[in-house]
Amino acid sequence: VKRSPDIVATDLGNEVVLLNTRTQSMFTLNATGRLVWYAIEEHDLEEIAAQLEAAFEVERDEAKKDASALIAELRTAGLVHD
Amino acid sequence: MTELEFRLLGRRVTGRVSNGAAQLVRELFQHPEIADALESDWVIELHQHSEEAPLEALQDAYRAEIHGGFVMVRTDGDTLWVSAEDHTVHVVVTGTRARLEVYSRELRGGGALMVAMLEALRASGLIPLHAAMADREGHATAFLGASGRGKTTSLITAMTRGYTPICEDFALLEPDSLRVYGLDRGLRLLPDTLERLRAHDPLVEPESFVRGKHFVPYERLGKRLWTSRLARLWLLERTDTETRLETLGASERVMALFTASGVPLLETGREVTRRHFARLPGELEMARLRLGTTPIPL
Repeated sequence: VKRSPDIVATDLGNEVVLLNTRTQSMFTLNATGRLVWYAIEEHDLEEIAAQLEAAFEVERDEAKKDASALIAELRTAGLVHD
Repeated sequence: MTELEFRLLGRRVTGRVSNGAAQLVRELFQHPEIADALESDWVIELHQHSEEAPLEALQDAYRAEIHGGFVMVRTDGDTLWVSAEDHTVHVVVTGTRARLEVYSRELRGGGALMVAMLEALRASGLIPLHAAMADREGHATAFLGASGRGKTTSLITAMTRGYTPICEDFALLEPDSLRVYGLDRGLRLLPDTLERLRAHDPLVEPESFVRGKHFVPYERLGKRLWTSRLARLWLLERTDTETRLETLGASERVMALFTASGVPLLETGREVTRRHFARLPGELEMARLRLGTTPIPL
């Protein structure tokens, strides 16, 4: 999965604001979303779930489900692509 | 054809373009008062083509809303095509140089050329802000928001409370020093807003009346500041109840900055934005101002 080149990401440390320059729409990702955003190009779903588990003390299965749902949302919003 | 040769905040603007294009560029960007207010190696050069733009300008182009209309945009790294109804501008940024190629037969509106100039300036490290601003004691307050949200009304209110106008519509922000520089030449006022100003200063006389608004040059107001230090930004929204200030969260502050500065189209400009937009919300006093039935807390 690749981040779209049309996105300007403003990293605020515990959240990130994404501006889609093509649609002029903006999105905010919270701390967990931020982790997924920055991990998405280099890591697969299993690895991202492991990172979420370590950082936020969530169950691995739960983390995997959340990350998968978020990636689907990011894809729908044109923020990432395959 | 007209020769352009001037400086804007240390940036050299040079080239030869049609009379219409030159008039447009000079109107918004040529101000001797702030020509050398900053130091910069940047050069913005403009070249005119009298033929239509090549077809590639519109390949995969998308529609982008701008202040008062829309343009078609195609971007690729530090290359940009911007097309409006009667002209197209190709922008290429290399190092500290932005080259603008203007394609037009006769230029009437200037949307694409304005976008191209602002993106060149953004690449050079300045952040355009669509806002009304006023100064008091060396600190600027910026009123942000979409058209009709009350920017000009808030500016007039500020002026009646002892603030000095910096701009009514557009300014450039130097993000390291937080200094803002006004770009417009006067106030464009709806008839009822002019009457509000006249209640405070009966001698105010507009210079012209264009598209439903009176134009009052700053010199007719007897006061104007070209620059100040940006201290606070208020994002304007309307309410039917009392006027109040509301806290903005960190991400809302970044979104407010994007609302005012527009979408960065060139990669160099995006880098400027990424670098500063994470920092600026922490250095500025930012709030949502809900304009309602009671006075603004200025």
